[in-house]
Amino acid sequence: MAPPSAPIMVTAVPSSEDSIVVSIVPPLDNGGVEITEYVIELDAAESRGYLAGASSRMLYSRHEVQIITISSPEDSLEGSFRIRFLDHQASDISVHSTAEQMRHALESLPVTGTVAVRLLELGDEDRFGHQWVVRFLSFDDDVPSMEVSTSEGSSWGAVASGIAFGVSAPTSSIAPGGAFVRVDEAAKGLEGFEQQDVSITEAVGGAFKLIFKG
Amino acid sequence: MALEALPSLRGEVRVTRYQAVSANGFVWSIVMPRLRGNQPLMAIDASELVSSDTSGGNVLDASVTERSPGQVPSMDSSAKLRQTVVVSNSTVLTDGRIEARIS
Repeated sequence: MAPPSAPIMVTAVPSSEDSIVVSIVPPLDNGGVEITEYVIELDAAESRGYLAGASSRMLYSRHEVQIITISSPEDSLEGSFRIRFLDHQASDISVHSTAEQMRHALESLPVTGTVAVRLLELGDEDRFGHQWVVRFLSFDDDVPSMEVSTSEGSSWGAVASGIAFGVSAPTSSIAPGGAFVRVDEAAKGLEGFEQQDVSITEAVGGAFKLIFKG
Repeated sequence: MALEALPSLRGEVRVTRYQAVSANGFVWSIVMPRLRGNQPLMAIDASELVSSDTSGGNVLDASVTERSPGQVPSMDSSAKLRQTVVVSNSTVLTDGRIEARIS
């Protein structure tokens, strides 16, 4: 008995929000024994996989995707925070900003171009807050991470907590383990795709041919 | 358009053209979104290009380099799923294909 050869063709087509239909054309050689089962393995890709809880950054996103998370142990979070991108700072952003307000704040920066923003509620039972999922549509490659800060004079970084976030007193400090705002890179633009550069220098005319035998 | 006509690229490429930094010319950065895994380099035939300098000072150059190799999915994230499809009357179609809904 030998292992069967590979299936002649496998296709996967989305059939709903959370299911796919997999179609298999069986191999020509079953190895001498009837095939009774096929094992199908699936893994997440693109930023949706990250949002679904995958533990690592995802491949195959056409654009950079970064997620701004606001999280608090209390459900009465108030206050604002600041975002900096490529050394340009947006005006203060309310913790209750809509997706449209976040999009407007980011696109007001001269370096951002166009972004798409989705607002998601935080699914954690112990924490309250939400996430703005930011897709950078004007960049063709990896994008530096946005930075956040919570007040004038405080440091910039991927995570910020502090004086702008008081639940009952917005100007007081919050305790460790309290509210924070954080930026994560969910998908690096074009990561995982084959990328090749064709360079032509010191030519004034003519034509060239490309041959690809992938 | 010219590249998308190649069957081996499966109908989609993404091309961005840049001015070459160190010499007089262009760089076309080509992304192959439909292919998975590391791909062979494209070959280039530049025999019909005309050099900008016939005195031999500036040498025409045509080359292809790999900016970033394609990767295969690691299949090891915490979102990974594994399902078994049993071959039975309910999964075998009349044309012999096996079909199953995975969710």
